[in-house]
Amino acid sequence: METLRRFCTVLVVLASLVSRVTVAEDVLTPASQSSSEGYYTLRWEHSSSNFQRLEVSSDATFQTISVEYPVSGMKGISLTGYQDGTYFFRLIDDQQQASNSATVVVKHRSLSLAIILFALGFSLFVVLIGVLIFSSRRRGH
Amino acid sequence: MTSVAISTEWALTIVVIFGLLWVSFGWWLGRNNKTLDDFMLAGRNVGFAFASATAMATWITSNTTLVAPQLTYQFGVWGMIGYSLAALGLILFAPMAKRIKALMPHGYTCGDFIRKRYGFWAWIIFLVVSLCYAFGWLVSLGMAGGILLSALSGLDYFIGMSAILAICVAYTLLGGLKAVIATDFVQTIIILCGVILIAYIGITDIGLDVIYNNVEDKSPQLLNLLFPAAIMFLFNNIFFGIGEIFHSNVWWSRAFAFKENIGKKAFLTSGLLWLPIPIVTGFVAMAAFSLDVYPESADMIGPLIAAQILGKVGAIFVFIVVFSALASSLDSLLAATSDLITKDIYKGLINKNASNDHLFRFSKYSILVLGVITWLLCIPKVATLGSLLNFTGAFVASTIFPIVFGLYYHRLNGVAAAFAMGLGTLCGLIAYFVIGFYVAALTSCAVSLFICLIGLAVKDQQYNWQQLQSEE
Repeated sequence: METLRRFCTVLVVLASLVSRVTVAEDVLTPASQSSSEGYYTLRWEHSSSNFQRLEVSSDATFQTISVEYPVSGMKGISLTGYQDGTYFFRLIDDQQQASNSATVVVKHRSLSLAIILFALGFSLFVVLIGVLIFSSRRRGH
Repeated sequence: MTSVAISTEWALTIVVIFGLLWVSFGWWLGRNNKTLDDFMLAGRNVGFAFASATAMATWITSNTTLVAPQLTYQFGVWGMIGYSLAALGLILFAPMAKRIKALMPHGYTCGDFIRKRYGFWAWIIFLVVSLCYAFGWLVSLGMAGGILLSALSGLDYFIGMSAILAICVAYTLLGGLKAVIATDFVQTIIILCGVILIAYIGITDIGLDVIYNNVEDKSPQLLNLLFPAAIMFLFNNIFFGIGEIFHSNVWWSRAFAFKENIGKKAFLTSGLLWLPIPIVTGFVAMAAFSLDVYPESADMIGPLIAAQILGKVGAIFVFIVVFSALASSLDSLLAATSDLITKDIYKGLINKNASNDHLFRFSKYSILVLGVITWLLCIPKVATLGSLLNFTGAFVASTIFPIVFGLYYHRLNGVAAAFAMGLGTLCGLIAYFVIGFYVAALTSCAVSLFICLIGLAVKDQQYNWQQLQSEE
């Protein structure tokens, strides 16, 4: 039963892709497939299609589109502010045809490492201010 | 959104008009330059108004007009705050400027200080650090000129970059530091008016609540105060800014050029006036999500949004503002780096007996050569502005504590200072490649402080401050 369900899911995904994807080559490519900062760049420089929008979804079948970006006349886009997760992207052209889909996995750096570095920065800053104030006063006297 | 805001013809016309204006002004100011002091240090006679304006204008650069919006777009609230705290570099340099002028009333460059205070090897390492930084900043400024023209007018990157470099080289060559400071004064007024106008129109036309809601909806991480990379970035940027100012001859040459008792007030004033500028320019980037304007490259976000908010006429204004900001820094950096090459490398290493007249001529050639090298390095456009600039953070942050301890304490010796700068830079570069650009300066500074503390504990150099006033 489970196997049959998986098979059906694969068929649905393939049917969905075949119905929309007419652009043969992989025109949409991320600069990197993972991001530790929640920002990344996607490019489609080598395509002559007139893409109108970029769709973002958290599922590979694009059943639910979470955000759409207007991209008319553009050859790439720099996106930011993404939280942890796997994001799927595809371009839609003026004929409502979709490009290949690209995937980016966002996994932010550890918060504890960030806090340790913050504490280190704060300590260094206190030392620097202390040295400058103490030294200036001493020289002033 | 990439539709260009102004036509290529308009962009070229503005570049030509401003180019002619700055170059003529440079020639007019430089016509009485007779000595090396006149050319390099504006006769060591710069008053408070010009001193504050030049410090502020030089610090308003591609950092504030292009990179501050870029980093706000990428790091959100922390990016904006972190950038504005780079003003601490100017504020903390204020008391140091007074001390520098008192210790070295006849000094020319920061290299002079390091050589006399720490000796040959620390001086060589310092020169490497300083020149790497200077070229990183010069290239980022040249690239910013090309990106600006390309973003606002669709003009080819190569032409825009070449134009801004040629103009700045020409007027710095003709007028020296006098031209740099005088053009900075005019450019400060243009920049301040422009930035205030853009922010005012942005807030009244779109509204703070709309901007907030759209960021929360489309890029929620930007409002998250526990955004790990942004938290790392905060103090990294503070130390990067402090390192840039403490070590760079751009600021030391101003400390030497300002009149007695002017440096401290001027740097303090310029720092306090500079503080809100990145908040304003960074805030502009947050409007991207309300306007549905997204850049192809993150460093184009500032000009794109400003042009969208202000329309076609406004875009011309934005163009002039950013062009002024870039020119004000590029000219300063060309002049200061040329000083370093002339006094430290040429006179210090190659031709020790060179007369001041000879050095005067050499410094002009070096400005020209610097311009050509920068132009060649800008052509490939190898990185985004933010990452290129922060790469140099690993270099400059390593110099903070050796300079502070060197100015105020006689204990620290040359070996410790050399190791602090060398190992600090190395560790900063490792952090840059292993973790990210947002930890390079912090790592470099921490390692450098650690080595300085060991140096202070191990040996007392008993440095005699009078040696700083000697001619050689």
